[in-house]
Amino acid sequence: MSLRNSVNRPPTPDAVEDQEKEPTLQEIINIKMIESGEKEKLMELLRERLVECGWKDEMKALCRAYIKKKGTNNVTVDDLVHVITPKGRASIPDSIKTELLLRIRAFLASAAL
Amino acid sequence: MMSRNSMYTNPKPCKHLADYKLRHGLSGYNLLQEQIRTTPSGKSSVKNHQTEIPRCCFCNGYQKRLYLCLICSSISCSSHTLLHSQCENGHDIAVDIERSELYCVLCCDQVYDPDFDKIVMLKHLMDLPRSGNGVDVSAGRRSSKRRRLCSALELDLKKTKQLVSMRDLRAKSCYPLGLRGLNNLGSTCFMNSVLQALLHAPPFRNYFLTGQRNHEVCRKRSSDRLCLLCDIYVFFSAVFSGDRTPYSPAQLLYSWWQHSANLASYEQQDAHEFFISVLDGIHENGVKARSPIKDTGECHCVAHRVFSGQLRSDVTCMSCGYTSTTYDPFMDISLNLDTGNCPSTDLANKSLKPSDNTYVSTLLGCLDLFTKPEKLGSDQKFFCENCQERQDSVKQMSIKRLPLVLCLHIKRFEHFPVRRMSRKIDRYMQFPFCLDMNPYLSSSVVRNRFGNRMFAFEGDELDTSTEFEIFAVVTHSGTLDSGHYVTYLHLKDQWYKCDDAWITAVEEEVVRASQCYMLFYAQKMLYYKANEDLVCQPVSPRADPFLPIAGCC
Repeated sequence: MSLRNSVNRPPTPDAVEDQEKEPTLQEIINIKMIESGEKEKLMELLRERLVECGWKDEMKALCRAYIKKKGTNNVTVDDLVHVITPKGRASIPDSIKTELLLRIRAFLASAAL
Repeated sequence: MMSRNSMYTNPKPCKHLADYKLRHGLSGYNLLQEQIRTTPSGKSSVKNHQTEIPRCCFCNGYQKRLYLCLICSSISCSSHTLLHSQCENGHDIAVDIERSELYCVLCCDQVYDPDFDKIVMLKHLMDLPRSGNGVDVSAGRRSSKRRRLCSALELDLKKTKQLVSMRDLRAKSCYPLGLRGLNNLGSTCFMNSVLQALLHAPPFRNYFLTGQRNHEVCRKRSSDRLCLLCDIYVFFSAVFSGDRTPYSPAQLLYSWWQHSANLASYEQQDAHEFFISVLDGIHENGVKARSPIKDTGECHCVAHRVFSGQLRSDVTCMSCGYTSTTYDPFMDISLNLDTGNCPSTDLANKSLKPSDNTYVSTLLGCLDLFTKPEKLGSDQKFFCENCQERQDSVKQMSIKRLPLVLCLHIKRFEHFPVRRMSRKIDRYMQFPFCLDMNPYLSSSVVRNRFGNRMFAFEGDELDTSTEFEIFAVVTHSGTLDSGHYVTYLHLKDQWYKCDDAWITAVEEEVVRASQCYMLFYAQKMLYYKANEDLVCQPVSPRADPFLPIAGCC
């Protein structure tokens, strides 16, 4: 009896397995994109577009203004990231979002996901 | 040993970085070097072979900024770096994986170490395809630079002071010397405007006034042939004589017509074209008269010594990163107006409609445009030596060597050969009176390509001055067919308007509001020295002003 119980008892949970829930679709897509190199390509494309439309320059200007306000020695990189991330996310042009979404969709189709 | 650029002083390391360096030296950096990969666009990242996707060892996340500990190589995301540092004593310095940049966990800030950047850059250079990688690590040609500056100072004016004394000082007004109206000989304002600027280009002026151009023994003149240089010399003498009545530069005009037969007519010409053609004429005349070119291969005629600089053009293959670099001389730089239009759509938050163009063009904007990386179209695919096929590529211009006098030409005349029409762009452009050309130098532009590393590219020139002062503005008003050129001169803190025969003092606002076509800047030091000598007071006469200056090549 005790033998059967030990056989029926689920295996001792591993520390890692505890954290690792079922990977979400988003994660699967992300991993596939990284492995195939598509993510790197899309990142390059995104960087290019953001420079072209002046978004990068705007962010630079925001950073400069913030540094000027706080004083050069009182600002860390982490501060800057926290300050401009929401503004940055909000000001991405729709055309760029659309373009990237289309690319990702095309990738999904080709990877038969 | 890399030379240090005075513009970029290395920031002091934080206490934690200093401690780390003391204890570990360069060992951590060296171990990391193998894992650094650089994209063709210049971005360096840490790519570990084992795990494709780096994850935080605490939360398994992979979407935030990830940092690699330099001591134990464990990866933490930005939320957990402090945790790692608390767990392991002394593990305070990490590397941002995405960007290959140093980070101090306790300061929560990016830190800088030239040793680290050197190692990153060396790996990058090692990985790049051989030859023509676009970055020259050898020390720059500083010796020739120093020589150039010295010769510029020699062209300078001990002798000018003497000359001033010998001149007729009938000038009643307190205008500085060398201000004299030029009569319009029939749509020759294009010539008059450029001549006014040349009259006051510091080393150029000194050359002609101090008799380095010894026209007495000019071979051409003695055989009764035309010599452009002699005519210019005569012209300078006349203008600086102290006589204020307007002068007619007829001889000079005739002489120039001989040289540029295709432009000889009474029609209005382009001032910029005239400028280039005059410099060309001086060069041709000068080359024959002078001794052969010296070791550096640079021309030593006065036109080149004063106006010539060197441009650098880098074409980078977008597939492999191979860069082909070429150098070309220039006598002036022609700039397209920056209109602030971006190829893709405007930013989401901007409320400007396409017609509502309140963007003001500026000279710095034009220079930014000039040195901006430009994607070459698919019809201009560059043949990459490394890939051995035509690839998409990016071109970027920068200034390798600045001239003593910088002439910037704003392209206001647009020509459409297909439609066979031309038009003038009237757009206003703002320009500064003091100009620092440092951001447009090759050393700065190439440095920025690799993400602002503490690394000396091209042997950053320490003794190069990049600060310029404006001394002349040639403006154009009217249309392409019927327009008028006027020059504004900046002498001894006062602006003068030179409109053919009429010279008037004006306020600087007038100049700022004018529609500039050609801008003349002189290296700051030369400009201020030149202005010292424009006093009208007599100086005690000394030796023969035509004595050749020792050391003049």
